[in-house]
Amino acid sequence: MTDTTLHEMTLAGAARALQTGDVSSEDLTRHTINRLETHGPVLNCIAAVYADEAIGSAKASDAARVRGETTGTLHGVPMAHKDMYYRAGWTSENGSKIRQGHVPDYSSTAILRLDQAGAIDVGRLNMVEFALGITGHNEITGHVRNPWHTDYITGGSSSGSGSAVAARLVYGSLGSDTGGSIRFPAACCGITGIKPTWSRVSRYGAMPLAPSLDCVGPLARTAEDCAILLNAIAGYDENDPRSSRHPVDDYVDGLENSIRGLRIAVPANLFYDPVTDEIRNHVEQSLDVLRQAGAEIVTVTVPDSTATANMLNNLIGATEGASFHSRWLRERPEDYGSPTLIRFMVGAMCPADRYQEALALRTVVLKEFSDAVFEKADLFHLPLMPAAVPTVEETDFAKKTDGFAEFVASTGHCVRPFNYMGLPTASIPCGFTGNGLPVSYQLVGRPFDEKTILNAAHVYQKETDWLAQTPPMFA
Amino acid sequence: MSDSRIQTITDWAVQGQKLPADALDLNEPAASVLKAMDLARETARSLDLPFETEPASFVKLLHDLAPTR
Repeated sequence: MTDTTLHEMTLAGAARALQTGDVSSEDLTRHTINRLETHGPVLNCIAAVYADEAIGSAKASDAARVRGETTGTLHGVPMAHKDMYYRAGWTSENGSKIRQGHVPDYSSTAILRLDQAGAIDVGRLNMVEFALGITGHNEITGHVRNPWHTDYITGGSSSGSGSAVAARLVYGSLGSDTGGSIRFPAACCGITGIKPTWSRVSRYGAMPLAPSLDCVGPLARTAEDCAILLNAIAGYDENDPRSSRHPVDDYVDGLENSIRGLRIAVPANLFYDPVTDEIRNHVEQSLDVLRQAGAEIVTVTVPDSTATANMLNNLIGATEGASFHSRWLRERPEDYGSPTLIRFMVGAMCPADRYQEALALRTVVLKEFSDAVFEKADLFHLPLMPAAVPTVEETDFAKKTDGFAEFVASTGHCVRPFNYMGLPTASIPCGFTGNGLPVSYQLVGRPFDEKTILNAAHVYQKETDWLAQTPPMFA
Repeated sequence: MSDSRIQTITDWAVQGQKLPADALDLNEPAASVLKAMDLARETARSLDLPFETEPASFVKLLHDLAPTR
């Protein structure tokens, strides 16, 4: 296999090539490390590469395969993850100064489950400071860059994950999503990401931001890749008592199913309000593809209560985040980047009764949304970003750019309601805007129905070729 | 949104919580959090949120709404 062939493979393709013996894990891992070290600095996406450990694991993986002892679907596939997933003995700095040099003495459940599936852990990827921010800016570790054009934002907070997967540096990456942090970088960088149902994946050993909202999930090139990764990490974990015991589907089995007769709802109100015509055209074209594949499109009116969900999600996120950070906010405020400090501080201003109201309202908001949408449809289709991906300069909090607050509010408009309601939601690329940056749409499913989302996304991706395009600098 | 309310919560942040709020321009973010707090209160009233509603009911509803296969 040529070098280009190696990194152009999807995660599923890499797993198949390893299985058939077309490539060894050692070769694939060395190639991954080489690309991370060559291109990572350009994108500022690397937090730490553990080359010796990874090559050692890859050699062991190859030796096990020779013995006929394959461990799982990811046997020998190199990956790297957001710098908030603990592995005992490895640094986990969370994109921050405050946690510089932090070395946990235990490993996250999601990381251990990837190990059990045979994945090779190559290192950690940069992120927004403490996962609090949607643009990808980081005053502490520097802004991660978008591989489609390095002047543009990656989206956050899983900024390094989005950048590295899109640039074909790694085959997949764990991210986290509390207010869009998987879906924004997936959308800005033109890859696929899924925020599972809240509680579907254990958060044990993942840096907490807001436990009522935090979700662990994958970013990868395709829906098929995400299905493979979700298969590995989903399910109850006794170390995270809030993880769900609901049975876990096989997300790969059924990916090829026809979507004929699948009912997909589109909103008659609310979600297109801030969306530009350019984005609307792309998102509506994605709907045409799904319709041509046999889906039945129905229009629904979402209830008024859904409109509150973006802001209430922010309130819960900021309040819970502030409680985790209260000591450092008092003792080390100078060690935070300015946007992070301000966001946590306003979270500290929310009294307990309002916080409890915001939490309690989730039940009502979810029920009303579900009655309006899932009584009539199996999935909900909507835009993700309301406008084309902006530049780093245009959205730099420190520069106090006019309209920054409005940008953040409007960008969360289509995304955060599904964190608040705990619903599984995927980001799926559907084209490029005039500035050459990717655009994506979202599919939302019933609770614990990631399977239907991934099935529809896979069918869509087979019918389109957006994912075949590689950022030219990293081909 | 009254300035006095924003001043009250920034004073509370500085004096009560020992946060360095006096060094930052908190007007806009404080106004934003006040707006969200008001929204929570107004929505709870408008939807007639039952006294017994607690976060656990959300988890139960998530599971109740899951498809059965």
